[in-house]
Amino acid sequence: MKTSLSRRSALRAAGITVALPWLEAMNPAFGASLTPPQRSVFICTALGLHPKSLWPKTRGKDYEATPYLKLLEEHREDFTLFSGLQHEDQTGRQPHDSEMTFLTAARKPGMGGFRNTISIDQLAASQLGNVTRFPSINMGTMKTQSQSYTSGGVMIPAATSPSKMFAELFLNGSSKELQAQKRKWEDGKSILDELGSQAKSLRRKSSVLDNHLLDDYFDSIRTAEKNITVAQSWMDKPKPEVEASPPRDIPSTADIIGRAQLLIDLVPLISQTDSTRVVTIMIQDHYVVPSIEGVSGNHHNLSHHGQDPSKIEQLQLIESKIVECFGSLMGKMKSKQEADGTLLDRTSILFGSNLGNANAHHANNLPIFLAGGGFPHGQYIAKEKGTPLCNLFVTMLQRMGIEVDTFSQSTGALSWS
Amino acid sequence: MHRYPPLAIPILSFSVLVHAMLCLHGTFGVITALVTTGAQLPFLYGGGSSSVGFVLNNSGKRLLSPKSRIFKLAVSILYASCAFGPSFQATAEQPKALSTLIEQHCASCHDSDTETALDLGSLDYKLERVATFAAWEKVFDRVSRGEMPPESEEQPDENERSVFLNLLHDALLKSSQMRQAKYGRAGPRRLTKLELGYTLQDLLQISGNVTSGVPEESESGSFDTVGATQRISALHMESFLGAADEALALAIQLGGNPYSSHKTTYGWLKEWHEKPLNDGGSITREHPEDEGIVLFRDIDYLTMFHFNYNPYGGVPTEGVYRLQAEVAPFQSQKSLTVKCIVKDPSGGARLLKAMDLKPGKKQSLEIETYLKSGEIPYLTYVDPSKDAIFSKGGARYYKGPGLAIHSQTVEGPLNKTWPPASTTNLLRGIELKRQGGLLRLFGGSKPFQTKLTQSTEEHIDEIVSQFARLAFRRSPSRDEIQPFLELAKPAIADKRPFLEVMQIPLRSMLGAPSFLLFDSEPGKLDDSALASRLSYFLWRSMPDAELFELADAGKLSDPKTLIAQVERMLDDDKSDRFVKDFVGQWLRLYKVNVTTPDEGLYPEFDELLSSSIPQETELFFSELVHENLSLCNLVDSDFTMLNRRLAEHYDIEGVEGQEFRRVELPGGSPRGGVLTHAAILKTTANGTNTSPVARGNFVLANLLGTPPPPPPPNIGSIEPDTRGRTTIREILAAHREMESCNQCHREIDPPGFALESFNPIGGFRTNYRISGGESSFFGFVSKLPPRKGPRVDSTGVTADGQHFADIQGYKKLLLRKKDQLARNFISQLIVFSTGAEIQFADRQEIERILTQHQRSDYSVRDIVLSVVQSKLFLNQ
Repeated sequence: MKTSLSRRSALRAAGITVALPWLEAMNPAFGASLTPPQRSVFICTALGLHPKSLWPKTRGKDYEATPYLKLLEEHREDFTLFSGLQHEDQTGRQPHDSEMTFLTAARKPGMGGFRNTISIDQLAASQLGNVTRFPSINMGTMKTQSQSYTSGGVMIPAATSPSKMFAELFLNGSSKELQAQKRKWEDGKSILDELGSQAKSLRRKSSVLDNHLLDDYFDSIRTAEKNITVAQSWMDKPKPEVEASPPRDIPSTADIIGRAQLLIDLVPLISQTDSTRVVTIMIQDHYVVPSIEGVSGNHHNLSHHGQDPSKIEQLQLIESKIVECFGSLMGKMKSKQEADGTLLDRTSILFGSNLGNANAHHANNLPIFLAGGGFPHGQYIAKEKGTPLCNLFVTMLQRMGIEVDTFSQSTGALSWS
Repeated sequence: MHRYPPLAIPILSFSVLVHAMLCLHGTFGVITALVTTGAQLPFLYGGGSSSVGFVLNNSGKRLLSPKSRIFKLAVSILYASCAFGPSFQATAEQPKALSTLIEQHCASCHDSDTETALDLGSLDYKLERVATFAAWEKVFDRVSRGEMPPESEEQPDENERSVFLNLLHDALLKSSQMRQAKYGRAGPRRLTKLELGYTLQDLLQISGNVTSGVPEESESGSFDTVGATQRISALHMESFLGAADEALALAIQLGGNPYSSHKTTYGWLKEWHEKPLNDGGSITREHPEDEGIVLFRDIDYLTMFHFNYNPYGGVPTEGVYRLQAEVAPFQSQKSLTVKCIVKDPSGGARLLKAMDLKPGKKQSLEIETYLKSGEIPYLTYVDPSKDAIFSKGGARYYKGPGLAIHSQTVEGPLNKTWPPASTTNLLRGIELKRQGGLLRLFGGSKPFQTKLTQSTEEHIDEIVSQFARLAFRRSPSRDEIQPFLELAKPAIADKRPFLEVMQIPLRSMLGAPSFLLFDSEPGKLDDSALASRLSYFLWRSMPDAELFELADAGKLSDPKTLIAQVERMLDDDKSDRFVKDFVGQWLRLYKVNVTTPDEGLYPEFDELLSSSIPQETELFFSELVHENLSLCNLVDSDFTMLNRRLAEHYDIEGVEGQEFRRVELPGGSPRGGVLTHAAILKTTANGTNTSPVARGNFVLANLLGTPPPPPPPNIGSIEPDTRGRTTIREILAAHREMESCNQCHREIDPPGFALESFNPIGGFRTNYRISGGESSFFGFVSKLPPRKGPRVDSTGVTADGQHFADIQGYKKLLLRKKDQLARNFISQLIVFSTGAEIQFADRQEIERILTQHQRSDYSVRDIVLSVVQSKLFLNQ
């Protein structure tokens, strides 16, 4: 019997528009559980959103649609807009340093002695372990700068090429690289095997003593061996197939929207194939004049509009397009069925910025949207000024089934009122 | 005669209040009220005789039925004692003298029916059990210190007490000694993250730090060297092997020599001179009279050192680089502080150097440092005007001070030879030949090829044997090396490239127990193990060639040689690692920048101050070691180590320049001793305000090694209140009224009160600061300067009734406890260097060292020498 049904054949059999049942046999990537997993996506637009075009005056369900919120009107019931959230102590050497800490909330970014801390996506990835082919996927529109940091404060570079990302995800790679990687793992396994037997004999020698360190050593070797086996097994499994053609990269850095859209379009594919459960995307390009009709200034310059109406107008043009990218993602995630709902039902998408007001260059009162994930949406929730954004992070981690009650600056989970 | 000095050597002496309680807070008052002085029936544990009795207590509910635990215990002990006879060695039998006193003076509060944490009824006497031993050790300590029975209770007579203590002392000593003889004093321990990093550098002769992926050592309440609290997880193991890979990759360099030098050009900045202010421009200009540019704001994106024609390229190849610059203050009558900072691609930044520039003079700045690829060093300065250029319309019109940068050059990576020594030493016996060919035409430095001079097996054997000798820090037998050679065989058979084959055994040796762990047989360390212990103690890394040679010749354990080696090691620059790590952990200096001071309350706290603060304490301790000064300087000293920024912070005049030096303190200065160092004052505060409790606890736990027990679980800590309504002293006064709190807080609070004269960043204060609030202007929120709050009261009364007016007075009183200070210091050195906590059997040796140095007022270097010569150090 065939153990792995081709997704394409399943689609053909059931008819393209029919709800696609979430089946373990569909894809060897899925774990043992039959319930689709909860996922998180973090999208940051690094120059903020013009506050006057964003924030409504009315709170709760009946908020009035501001220029930016009008663009998301068709998804009104699928997201919540929060105000009042922020990280504390984000004044760095230069104002954009908070880009490094949007997902970590480490204090005083960029100042001497600064060292970043683990980002929320990496915490989730490390807790989830090897359940997916990729522990996390980090992407950026412009450069390898990402907002993902290891527990040692080391940045994980972002992938900027959608076509390469697509190949990594869904195309089975060249054999030469594969071979080298396989050999390295084989070496690693035989090394660990030898070390394991050395530890075993050492342990026997001093078995009388309550000797946890030798036990630890031995166990760590065994676990490391298992980890290699898991990694190897991912390599041996064929990559999932998807109903999409590989994207073509956009070379022009001026087409910031096109580049962002290509990355965002990968998210539904990543989610439905369970290639990873945490994705970060950074939309950023400070010093380029975006190729959008009616825009003649560079994005960063426009964000410092100094209340100049013509500049604000151009800024709104850029930011509207970015907000629409977020809208399109909600739309696509909603259109894909899994189990008893849609991809969006089980994917919490945070869309926001590390700057609250780019004109004043401050990192207070951040614009934060949360879509999907099965939360009670359709509201504008104004939290008390200075509420830790990390509280929302805690809520998102918990939604993914990760047992934490704190993250960085959090004071608890975020209440929905 | 048996001695039982009132020792106070805590197991975890600098922990965050790890101190198991023998008495639960607040229960004493209640329970003692219940105790009547009525007839106390014999409490019987079976004294080796045949008598059996019913166990009864003075409160009705404590009558023991034959079903009760104590009864069962008593019976089982009786059987045990019948079987093994009266000698208490290796039996669970408690001597009668102990049980009698316990029954009369302890059991009423410490049995199964009472709420105290200790239940003497269920506590057996099997001292070979770790938990049992620890419980009896605490009984011994608290009784010998006179803390138990409490004052409110009837006291045993002197004779009874001394018999009790002698018996218990001997039993504990004997058991502790037996354990040490059987298992060794110290169990195995592993290399710490720091030690692993230094070891890989020294072993492979590389300069880069390859351990960034290794997990941080977790907070254990003791030194990270202590094996009992160390952990090895798969994450550790994977990161250790990852570090080994990275280190080997750095060591083996067969490419072309990446050396280059480049002078930064400023033509590309022209555009930035003109750009509008709100686009990040107009903060630089061409120098009006000279070569170079002028910078008017503390920023990081214009004044980078260029490594090639790309200004933002950063370091192309990691290695040691030399950075040089010609700089001068511009439009400044005062001296200006230039800073050289390195940004890393992960967003981190580190201050490489700060230097004061005298007005009107070009000065050169030279730095040699290790840089990783992608890192970007740049120049900036401490802007005294705090961004005033913004209101002045930009560089063209600005008349305030700026930094003139006349030139910047870089060269590197600097290697004495190419291929570097790390490569040629590792590949000894293999010919390295330059590749010819086309590369020469393009002028590139040519890569190298390996040429074998014997069979692959023979080369691998030679390299592995040589490497094992260094990596395992002793001469391994052929049998030990063989498995590593075996690992290479499949790869040799597959005809894989030599360098690939070679790294298989090397990687595995760097993950092997012999490399990662320290473990010796019980008893005296052999010379190799001694060389390692010594080297990791004072250098935090593997032994050097001289130590290896002495160990091989069996000469290192010779006392004279040993002393000479310690002297040599302390004089070596590598001993700075010991100072930094020991002080970093013992005095919690590693935690100094965990909290960030509130900007509104402490606007003067800047980057330079932040980086200067820990250096004072490190250099101060280093001075004590190198000049062999008295340990009492930790409590009070007439000097300290300062640079200009820190001297300003302390209001001490006449310190010019940002380099640290020894400064004699002016008369009347409240400074002197580590308690008045900003590092300690900042570490013990939370950034916003100070707590006498946290600071008092630091004095008791870290400095003296007598940590108070933790507060009862339902008691919270003090909420910061910067509105200035109540002082912390008022809050604490209320809680000193309660006897259960007062028991510990009469000890904890006084040092904290004396230290109230210092704010959370270590500045001297006579008044508290209150936050000035915020002002908002068109969406720009700015914090207003702080206001003057209530006066600080730094007076206090110590637990033994001594009054003091301020920190100076308190330090005099604290000096009376210098023996305890020294005892703790000796203990800390032993724990740190041997990787094992102080055990009961160690106490005599510690007292011996203490007495030896009492007369010389505890000279620090001499103490270090004694520790190394002590049997605790010389045995496993």
